Amino acid sequence: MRKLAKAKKDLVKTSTISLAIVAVFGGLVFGILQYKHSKEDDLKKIKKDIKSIKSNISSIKNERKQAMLSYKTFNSIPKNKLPTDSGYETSVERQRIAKKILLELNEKYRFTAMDPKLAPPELKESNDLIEIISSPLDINFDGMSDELVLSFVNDLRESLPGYLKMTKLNIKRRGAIDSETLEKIKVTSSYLPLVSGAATFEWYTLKNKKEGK
Amino acid sequence: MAKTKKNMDKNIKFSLSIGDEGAILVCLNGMQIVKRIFVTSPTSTEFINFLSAYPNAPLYIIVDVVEQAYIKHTLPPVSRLNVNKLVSRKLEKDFDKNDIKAAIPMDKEKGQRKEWNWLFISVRNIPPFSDWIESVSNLPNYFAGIYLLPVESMNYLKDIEKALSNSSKVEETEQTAKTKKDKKKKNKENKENKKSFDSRWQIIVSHNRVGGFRQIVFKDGKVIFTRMAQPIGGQSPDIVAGNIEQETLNTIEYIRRLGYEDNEGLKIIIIASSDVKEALETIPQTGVDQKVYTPHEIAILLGMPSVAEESDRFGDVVMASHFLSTKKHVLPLFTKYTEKINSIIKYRKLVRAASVLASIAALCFAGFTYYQTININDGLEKSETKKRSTQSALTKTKSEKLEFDEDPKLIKVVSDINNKLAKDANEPLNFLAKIASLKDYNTYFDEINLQIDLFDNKLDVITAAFSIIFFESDQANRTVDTVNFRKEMEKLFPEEDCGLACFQLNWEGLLEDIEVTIEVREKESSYSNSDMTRVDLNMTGPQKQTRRARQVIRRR
Repeated sequence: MRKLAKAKKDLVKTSTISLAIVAVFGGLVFGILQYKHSKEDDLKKIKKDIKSIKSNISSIKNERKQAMLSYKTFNSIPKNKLPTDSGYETSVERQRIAKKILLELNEKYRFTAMDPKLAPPELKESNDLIEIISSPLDINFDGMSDELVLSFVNDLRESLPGYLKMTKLNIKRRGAIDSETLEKIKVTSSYLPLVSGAATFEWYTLKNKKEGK
Repeated sequence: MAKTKKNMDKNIKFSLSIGDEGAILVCLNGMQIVKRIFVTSPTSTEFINFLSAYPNAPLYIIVDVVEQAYIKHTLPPVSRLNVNKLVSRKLEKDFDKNDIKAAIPMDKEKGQRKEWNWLFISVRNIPPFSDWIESVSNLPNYFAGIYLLPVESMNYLKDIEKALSNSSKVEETEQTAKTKKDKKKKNKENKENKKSFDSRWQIIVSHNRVGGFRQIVFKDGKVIFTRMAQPIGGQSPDIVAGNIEQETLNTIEYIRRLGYEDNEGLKIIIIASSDVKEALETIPQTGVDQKVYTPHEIAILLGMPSVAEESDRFGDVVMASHFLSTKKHVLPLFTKYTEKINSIIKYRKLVRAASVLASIAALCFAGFTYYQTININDGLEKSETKKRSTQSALTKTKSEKLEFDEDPKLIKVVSDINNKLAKDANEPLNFLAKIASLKDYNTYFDEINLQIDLFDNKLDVITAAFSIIFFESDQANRTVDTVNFRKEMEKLFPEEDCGLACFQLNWEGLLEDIEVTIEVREKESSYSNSDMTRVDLNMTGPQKQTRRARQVIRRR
């Protein structure tokens, strides 16, 4: 029985020592693994930072590229379309400038009749830098031909400050340009109302926003 | 020196051959015998002290007592798994619970029934045998098991036969230069030898110190029966030889009951002292090949000349030494107590091996992980360098000035508004101008209706619709060239693969989503002196639900 007791004791001793050795090595492995994980985390963080910085650089470059494109567009915009300090924000100012340009164009296109109506301006949009002011412009006219009307519309868009967007155009032929009509024009030296119509526009102007406003 | 001694001790093995007359302790180091002691009591101081001197050396017990039973049993032809269960049950039933017992498979009947033949073996665990076991069980040496001399002699017989066969081959080579007559004689001898090796039955008779005349009968190399006899009438060589002859004859008579027939061949190997060898006569039996060796001769034959001296009278030591030198043993047996101790020792070894393996694995894994960590550290350093350079690139990029002095924010806002409000591509008037360019001098717009909806007053053109009526004066007897007009329209709206009636509208910006319908009407009279062809053109869009607009030209 002594040998059995000794064998049992030896088994316990060996198991304890083995367990201790395994625990030591296990601890070593665990420690190294933890160290590895911490380094991996550091590496991931740095890679993430690099990615973020690169993205930042790319974003800045993109912004600059966009800014250059905008600058190109900005340079191509006619001066009378650019924002002004007044922005033609009052009815009086708008009436005055519209009347002047319409009279000039009427002289050019020889409309037999022209009846413009300009509604009071209102604020359409606003941001930190710009205000967009708009007012509807209705024009009834009688003229010689549809080509003249279309040309008039184009001229009006060029001449008026800001932007003119057409929302409605009706042209109706009242008579054909035949030999008889041409003869009549020749004899009377007057312009016949061969087409009549109406056009509706939305007139937008831009105003620089003043600081503190 | 200590290390050398330890290494030497590693090869040391003990065997204790226990018989009814006492026991012989044999200590073997490799193939060299270190010591052999004959003891009559398990409490012998010399015996215990010598074993205690080598506590790490394993101790094998060889049983050579009379109280051994070998019974052949024929078991029903069940499966291999079931026959083992059957054997276990039969062992429990047929033998005393204190007996040390086991069974070894012999063969399978070749007849129709294919029954199993097993040899059931038991050793009575009673004094003096039990006293020896109890004594050695508590010694510090590893208890390597109890082995039955007759059973383990299967290896002994095999090695002797092998050695005999080899020696006859050597002799044959030596004789090649001799005369033809000699050759004939040798061939005859070889034939006889061969015949004896081919014998199905073999008997080993060993005169042992601890027991007496141990006779072991083998059939086809497997033990089937054993007997033990004591010398009667004194120890003089003639008497001993007579005893051996008589006992061998008795054994032959007995094995006839087990199926031995003269024509099957029987080889008898007798191991006795040299004077007994001289006194022994050949057994006058048909088919019997009798060979007598001294223990020293057998030891030389087995390649272990140091284990026996020429003067040795008994075969125990040679058998025990051969047993110790054999790597594989036939049937290890244990008492319950020794089995328990051995299983604890096995567990201990297992735990030790597992911990060593786990430690090696942990070390390898730790090394591999550490190697990976070193690589990660390298990567970390490179990444940090890269981060620094990227950071400086960012600083540089930030510090770079724009090529213009104006407020970039204002420039962007104004450009965006300009893109919205002055985008000519979205302007239906431009499209109207394109259509107008198709007119010739005697073709006019009769009516233009154009409606543009500004979406929610947000400055974006969302829908546009207008209709145009073409009018043709024909004072010069010219008809409107509708075919040409159609061709011109096709130029404006390139044809797609869906036929003439279907066109993909791919014309400047937003208009690609506008559906266009053109209808050329029949000639009709309008003004007094002219004919006209009315062409209706309707546009609606953008059609958000269809990516492609369609153009259909119908002629009526």
